[in-house]
Amino acid sequence: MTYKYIGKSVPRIDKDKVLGGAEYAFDFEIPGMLWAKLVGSPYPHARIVSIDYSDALKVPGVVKVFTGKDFPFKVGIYAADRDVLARKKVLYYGQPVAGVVAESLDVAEEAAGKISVEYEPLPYSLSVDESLSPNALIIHEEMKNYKHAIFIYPEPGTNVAHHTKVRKGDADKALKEADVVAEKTYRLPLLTHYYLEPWTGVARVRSEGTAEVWSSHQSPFAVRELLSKSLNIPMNKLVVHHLYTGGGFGGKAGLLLEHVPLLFSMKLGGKPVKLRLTARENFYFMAQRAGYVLKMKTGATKDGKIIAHWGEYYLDAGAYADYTVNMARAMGLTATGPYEIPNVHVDSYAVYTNKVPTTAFRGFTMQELHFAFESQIDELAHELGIDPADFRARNAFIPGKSFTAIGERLKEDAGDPLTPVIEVKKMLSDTEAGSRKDKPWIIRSKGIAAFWKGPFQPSSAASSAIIKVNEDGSVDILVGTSEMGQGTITALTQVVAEELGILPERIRVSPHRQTDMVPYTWQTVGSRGLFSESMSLLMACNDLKEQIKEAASVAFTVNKEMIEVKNGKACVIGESWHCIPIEKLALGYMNEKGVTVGGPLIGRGYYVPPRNVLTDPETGQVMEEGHLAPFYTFGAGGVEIEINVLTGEIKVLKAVTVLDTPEVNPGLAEGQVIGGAVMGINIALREEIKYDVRREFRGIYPDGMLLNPCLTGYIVARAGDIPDKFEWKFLGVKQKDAPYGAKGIAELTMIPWPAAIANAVYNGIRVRITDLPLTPERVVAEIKKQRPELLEKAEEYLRIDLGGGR
Amino acid sequence: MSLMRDKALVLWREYFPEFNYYKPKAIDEVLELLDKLKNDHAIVLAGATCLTRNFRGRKMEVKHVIDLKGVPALKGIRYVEGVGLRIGPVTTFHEILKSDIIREKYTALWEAAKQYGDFELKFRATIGGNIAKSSPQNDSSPPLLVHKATLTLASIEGRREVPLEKFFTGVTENVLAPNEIISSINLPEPPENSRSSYIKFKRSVEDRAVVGVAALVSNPGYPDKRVIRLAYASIAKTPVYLGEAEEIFRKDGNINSLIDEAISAALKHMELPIGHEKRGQDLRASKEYRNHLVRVGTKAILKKLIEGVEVF
Repeated sequence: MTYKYIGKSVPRIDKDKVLGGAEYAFDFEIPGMLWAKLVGSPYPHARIVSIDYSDALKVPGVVKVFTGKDFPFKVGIYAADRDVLARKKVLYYGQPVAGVVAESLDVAEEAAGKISVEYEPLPYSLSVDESLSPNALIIHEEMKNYKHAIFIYPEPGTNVAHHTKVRKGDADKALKEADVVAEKTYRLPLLTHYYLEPWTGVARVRSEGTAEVWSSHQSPFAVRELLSKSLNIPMNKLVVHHLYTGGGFGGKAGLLLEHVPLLFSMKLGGKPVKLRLTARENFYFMAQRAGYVLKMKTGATKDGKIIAHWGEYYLDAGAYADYTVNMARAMGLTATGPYEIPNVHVDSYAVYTNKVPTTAFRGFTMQELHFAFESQIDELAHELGIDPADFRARNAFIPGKSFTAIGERLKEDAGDPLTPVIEVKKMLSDTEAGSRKDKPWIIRSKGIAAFWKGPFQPSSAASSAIIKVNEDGSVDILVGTSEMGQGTITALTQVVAEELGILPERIRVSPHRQTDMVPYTWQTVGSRGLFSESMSLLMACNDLKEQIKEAASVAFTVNKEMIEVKNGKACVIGESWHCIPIEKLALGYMNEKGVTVGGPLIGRGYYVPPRNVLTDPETGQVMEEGHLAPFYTFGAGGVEIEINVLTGEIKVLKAVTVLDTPEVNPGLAEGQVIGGAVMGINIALREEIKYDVRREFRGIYPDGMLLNPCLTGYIVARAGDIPDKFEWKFLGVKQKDAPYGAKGIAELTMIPWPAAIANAVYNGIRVRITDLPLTPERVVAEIKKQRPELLEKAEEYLRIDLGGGR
Repeated sequence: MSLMRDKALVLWREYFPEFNYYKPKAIDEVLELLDKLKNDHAIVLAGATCLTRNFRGRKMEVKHVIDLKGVPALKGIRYVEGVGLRIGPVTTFHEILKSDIIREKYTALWEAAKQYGDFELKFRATIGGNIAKSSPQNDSSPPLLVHKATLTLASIEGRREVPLEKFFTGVTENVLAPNEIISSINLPEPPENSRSSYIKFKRSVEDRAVVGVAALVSNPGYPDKRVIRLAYASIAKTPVYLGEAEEIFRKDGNINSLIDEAISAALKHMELPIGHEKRGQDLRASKEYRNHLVRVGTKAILKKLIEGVEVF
């Protein structure tokens, strides 16, 4: 089937962003608006004895100072464990303890500096190991009272916020029978999303009682739902506005700090209040990506079959695990990568520590899981002497046959787990790893990693869409999904253009959302946006076409079944001279005598994943036949790298991505592929939130502080750090119940890089690195530990010969 | 544990503190103003790339800001053959990059400018600001040190010339009096047949130095005429000029042994953490890795200057 608009590089419709015309919450102001400023805790864990803000109140222009006592309740999405402002205890360095509201930002900032707090510092934990030790302090003493989603299993009285178990076959026994076993522990640091727009929120309450919020978020309906639940506001009295969003990468999923300006406003007679974070505050007041400790034992037989996998996965969730609990679940349930393994025993935990709160991050644990798991696969392949790509191919899922670790049978049309690996191998240079001739201290090498991912969402996660035909036959699309860089709104116009046969320029999707004016969608996360909204839109287009046919059947006095809609017209089938343009039917059909039949055309559609089911809490197995996600995208990535043995520097020369799905818009897909690779490669090589772990008091600052809350300390890729060459391929394997067969790609493009690079390092110098990031310092340290002779040889090249033995 | 009363932490601000801004047109005006305001939180502004950050973070108290960019005499690069080079303190890194004479004769400085900051920053940041901030990581100092630069410091009381080597006294500390500014950076004519270079190890293309190594080499094959100078960034509380190297390389002997000797001498200067005590641990690299980079960097830069082999 050929399409007119699907699969074409239709240009983006949100050009406002590059021309300076886009409105962000960051810019949003309302006349008479007040400004809020939050102040943080200088301790990682302390009891709050008293807060003195009398001096702050004396600053002219200050309206009010709030503390935790003003808001005695918790908020959250999967585990409601968050305080609005710290109550009784602070749980991490930087946690907001008070908020000043003033007539202007400079006054609020000045007054904020005049608040003083009396603390009783407490012992604290900065690692999963400390939090799980037998005599660990308990960070959340009241965990048993927290509300949580039905698939979240906290362990009150410990620091475990959630525990997922997966049990399939007998992993212990199978590991004993395996010919080779890879056993390693992988450690990954906390990360920040570093979206360009720091979080901002504005809130007010209108005189008739409607609360309104404008903020920088991914999912307006999730913000509304969680505000409604947390603050007991009926949804018809709560409107969430979504403007252009300067990036999210998972960090703006769920509820962020919207409740803070809204609560302030509610306590101030509904006056508008704005809270705008600086990039530095964003490190402390927003949630970041969890850290990971992943313990794995994976066993295979001589003939290259993986027969067992055992894992303990720990997510360092920081002080609030609100969203991270569901990430621990996702990681547990997809424990084994895109491979069929008969015996699996995995425990996945989200663990509280005294660090910044954590949340979703592009890939939702899949980059982290695959870094470890694909390193294991590589180890086994090398151990067995089998080509790593062939080894992967031998164990890949077979759609229609294979069962996943949770007993889900993959659908016949689930995709292609096998070919991406083979394609990636072909697209990489076929030369073997070795030294560069001109600079023998630099080793060239290559590595690959396979992956899979689907959206991990509640089984009922819905979306809906409305299509309105305007009086002139142009079309407005109303959807709840957000545009934050992915290009979804452009791709959605392609869907409607294809279905109705009208030009994309005749179709508009606003970049803005208002929860009382657009239909519901659960969230824009998990690479589900285009998939779910397109499914809704396809249904809406059918609904609309039925109405058009109805009206046209009156016009031509034929049966409805005799009408087809194409090229923006309704025609009697087989009679091309009997056509009527859609605009003539936009407000119903009026005959020559002025009698109007029908009315304005409005199509409606929705999508709910079919047969998505929950898993058993004791075994992690699906509760009945069904699926965890509406689709899985399969793919592989490969890199060609240079390792400078002298400095430990890794340079990525070429990055190759292959995904099994078709593309809806190749231009936008290219943006995702390159953007995902840049982000993933930089995470592999450079990114890490660092903590002061010295355990000593030093003046008024104890340790436990976050050390690098800025771009000079936290290294985000600069233009010059980006590899020269990107290549990619979409295999076009279609899923039947997917829009035009296409599945999500946004996060997928970021997954394989840490594993592919670590595997390339091993391939090149036989040094296995299990911790991220792969900084030059770490690479040199590991070379010294695992192959010191390499470094000695490289340094030999630096010897100078002046002749005559000098 | 005992109770602690703390000022609440304002993590960052959007607003600058309020201050008076002055932009004099002549050096004497600058010096008079600075002398008058020196005890009233006055600060001199060159490129302001660091100051704006310090203002927002309230890292310093400020009431008066005196902008040097309005003084033509403090800008520009002048070379007199046989005498050397004078660089005005508010000369930007971009201007240094555009200078052929610096590229040819003071290559290490040119290479440092090339690797300094990002593209945009080079148009704003100045060499005088870079020196006066006196960060141990600053890129301009190692090249200036191997070129034996001196600074002219000016105040209302007069002028004095200080070798750069004697200028730095600690992390962001130097010998400038509160009423004094750097009025000129002076580099003598380099030794005959000499070449210089700067290697900067960094975590990203636009990072500050994890370790910086500058070297100047002349007549390496002739111990009696040989000049080899070494200087380092980001290994101690101040930029380090390795005075010991001059002595070491005057000795006759296998050059590789002499290099090892110089490296040992350099490593004795290593003092961590670099930066403020509060932070305790160093973010950029551990002592062990810095030691490694000093060793590898010293060997690599001399390999390059002596044998012409580009190592990195």
